[in-house]
Amino acid sequence: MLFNSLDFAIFLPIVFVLYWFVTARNLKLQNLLIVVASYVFYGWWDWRFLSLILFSTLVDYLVGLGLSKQENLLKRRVLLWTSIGVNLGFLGFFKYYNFFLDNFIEAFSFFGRDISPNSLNIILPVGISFYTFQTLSYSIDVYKRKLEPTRDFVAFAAFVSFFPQLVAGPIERASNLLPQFYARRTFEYSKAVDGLRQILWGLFKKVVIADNAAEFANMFFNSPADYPGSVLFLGAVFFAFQIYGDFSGYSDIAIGTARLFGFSLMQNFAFPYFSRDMAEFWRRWHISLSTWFRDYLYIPLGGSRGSLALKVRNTFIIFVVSGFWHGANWTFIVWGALNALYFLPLLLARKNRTHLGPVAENHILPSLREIWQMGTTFALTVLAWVFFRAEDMAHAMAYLKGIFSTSLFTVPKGAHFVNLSTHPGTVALLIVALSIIEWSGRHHAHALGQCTKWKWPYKYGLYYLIALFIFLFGGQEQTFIYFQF
Amino acid sequence: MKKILTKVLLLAIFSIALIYPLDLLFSKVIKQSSLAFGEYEVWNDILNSEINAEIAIYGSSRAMMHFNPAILFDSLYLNAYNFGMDGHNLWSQIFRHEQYLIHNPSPKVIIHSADFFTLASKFNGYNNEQFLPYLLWNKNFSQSAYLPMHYSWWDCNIPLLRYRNKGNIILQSFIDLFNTKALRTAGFVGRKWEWNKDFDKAKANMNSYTIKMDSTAIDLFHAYIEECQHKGITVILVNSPVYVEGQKFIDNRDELRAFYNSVADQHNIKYLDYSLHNICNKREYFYNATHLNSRGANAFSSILAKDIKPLIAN
Repeated sequence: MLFNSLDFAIFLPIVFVLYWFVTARNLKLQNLLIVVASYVFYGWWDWRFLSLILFSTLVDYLVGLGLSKQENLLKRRVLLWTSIGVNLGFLGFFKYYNFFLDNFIEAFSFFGRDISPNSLNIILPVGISFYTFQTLSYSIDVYKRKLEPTRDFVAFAAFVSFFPQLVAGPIERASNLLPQFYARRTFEYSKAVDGLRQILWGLFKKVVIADNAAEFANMFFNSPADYPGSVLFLGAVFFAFQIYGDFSGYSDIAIGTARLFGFSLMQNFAFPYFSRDMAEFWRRWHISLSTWFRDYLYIPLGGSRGSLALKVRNTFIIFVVSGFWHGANWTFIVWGALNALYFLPLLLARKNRTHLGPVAENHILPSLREIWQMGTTFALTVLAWVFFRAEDMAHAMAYLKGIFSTSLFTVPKGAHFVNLSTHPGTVALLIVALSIIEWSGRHHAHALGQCTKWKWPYKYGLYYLIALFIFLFGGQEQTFIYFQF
Repeated sequence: MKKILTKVLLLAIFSIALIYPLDLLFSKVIKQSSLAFGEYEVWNDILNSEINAEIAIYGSSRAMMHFNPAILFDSLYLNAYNFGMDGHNLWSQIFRHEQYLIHNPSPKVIIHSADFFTLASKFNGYNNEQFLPYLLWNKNFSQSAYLPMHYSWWDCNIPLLRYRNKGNIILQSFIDLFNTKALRTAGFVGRKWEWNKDFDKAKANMNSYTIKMDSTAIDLFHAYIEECQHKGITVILVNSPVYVEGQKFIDNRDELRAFYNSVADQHNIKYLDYSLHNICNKREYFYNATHLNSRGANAFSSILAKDIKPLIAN
């Protein structure tokens, strides 16, 4: 079920009413309702894959119980690796089987040995990378005794399958989300209103920005040979806004929806395109995944301690694995490695924690230096996005070759945009509107958080305007990009 | 909980109260624009009963750009209005004809631009945005059998609904408010463009093709001619100039000419064919292979005026 669909618009109020008016007095029943609603939400896409979630839930629940009774280190390790094996096994099979197989075949043929391909037609279950990592965090935290294992299976199942963030995050830590299922939720007006605000802003980013920018990005990426470098660069910029609007929009809707049900999820995006360097960008982009890798991979590997070689190794590992998490394609690996290259100089120069607060913290506008820093950081991310968006390495290289040609400095012509349903000026204006609202709301958890203290005519005026824009400027319906991960 | 439900309800009520005036505003602004190839200008003239023409010109974009009413007036001293509509969609043309006769006095003569493509299209929704601002406010638009069901019952009856995802049109219409110059003059669009060379680039890779006529379009065409004759309106079929190089790609052009001749014979009306006229050889009169520029349109309109003068003398 998509957040930007009529199905969800009907589903959400039904669950909301049942949750607060029918099951509110019984915590177990309320949690059970969340499990049922979440399974309906997921099953709407393909009910067959519910068995994967259920199996994963059962395994980690039992591993948790086992760890609680087991003091023997070896047996505890066996239990932990059972959880890791099952979860990563599913992920490996559904997401990476064909990738490894194809690469083995290519490697063998390189050495003159042809082996017959036997790839499978595997459907990737939506959200598998997200709920797998979420449930893994539980097993690891219980193993490390950072978290008490739960005996409440319903609460645990609700934690694994919680529908607002089931298919595209934020990837929650068990230590943050699971305890919220133990306590009785009370309806908080301010929390719910802020949740609605965040949903509205998320829809704007997804439907108005991402879906419209997608039309441009798709056209230019589909046939880069037909366009000059300047237009291809614009295409990459459009993709940068598409992926930001798409993914951060999804996160906003997820966090806002969770707030309607009395839950607090972690912030997943903190205005990343206002970052002044790549280290800041990675503290602000897909925060739940970055911190997951930091806590469960980077720090166990030694983090930024140790020798220079170790630092370089760890940085590359975390970025390359993060890239590979996104998909079984060399383009994602290169995207990760490129970001490691961007990040490494800052780490080595110990400048990776220079910009911790929001940009222009006590000012309305940024300084020229900050504009330059944000501009160069954005340009670097745009170039990296080319690898993220490309079908394969040849496509990425052809696109970059197109950008870095003499035609980069030509003025785009109207003829390059004729087959688009929306005028490029309109999309540019919408992006400017997004940037202004995000800039003025950058001190808050989400851009519309700034409205809390506004006078009501301004506040409701803005809500209506955003709602009207969602209605009028909704692009052609596109699924969320991160569903494929 | 009560507080938030009350607020959501109030917001919903206020939203519902807003949709009607918003629809009115958007429809009004779109109607004033020159978008949709200036079709709104023609529709406004029709629906506001502002047309008092003795000669009506019907057809597709070739009608719209080839027949200059001002030139016809200079030669014939008869008011003319060009109802040409982008896209060769006979159903939309007939719908426009029907609305024209409902709201305005009938013309004496209809010059119908019947070219190689006129009867080729099936019932389709091309250029349907021209109907957008009228659908809620004019039942003839929402209930016509001539218009494809591009818009649902909900679109035609719930204010604002049909404007979903049409923000681009609305925004452009608001911008167009600052443009005081109309696109059309008595329905006519003269393009002051020179030959654009797209055809020269494309023709090396182009294959010739056969135009297949649609049987329902043929039936509709016959019925429409009969209806005009019944109302005492003279119909003249005109195949206006198409650039000679472009014509060569139509394999069955002789067959199409013969068909229109047979239609003319059947209804005892005139069919004037300019597809073999010397004007078709003059590239400077065209901006692409199928459309005359304003220079060509004026030249052709003068020739046409001379040719139809004896036909409409009475």
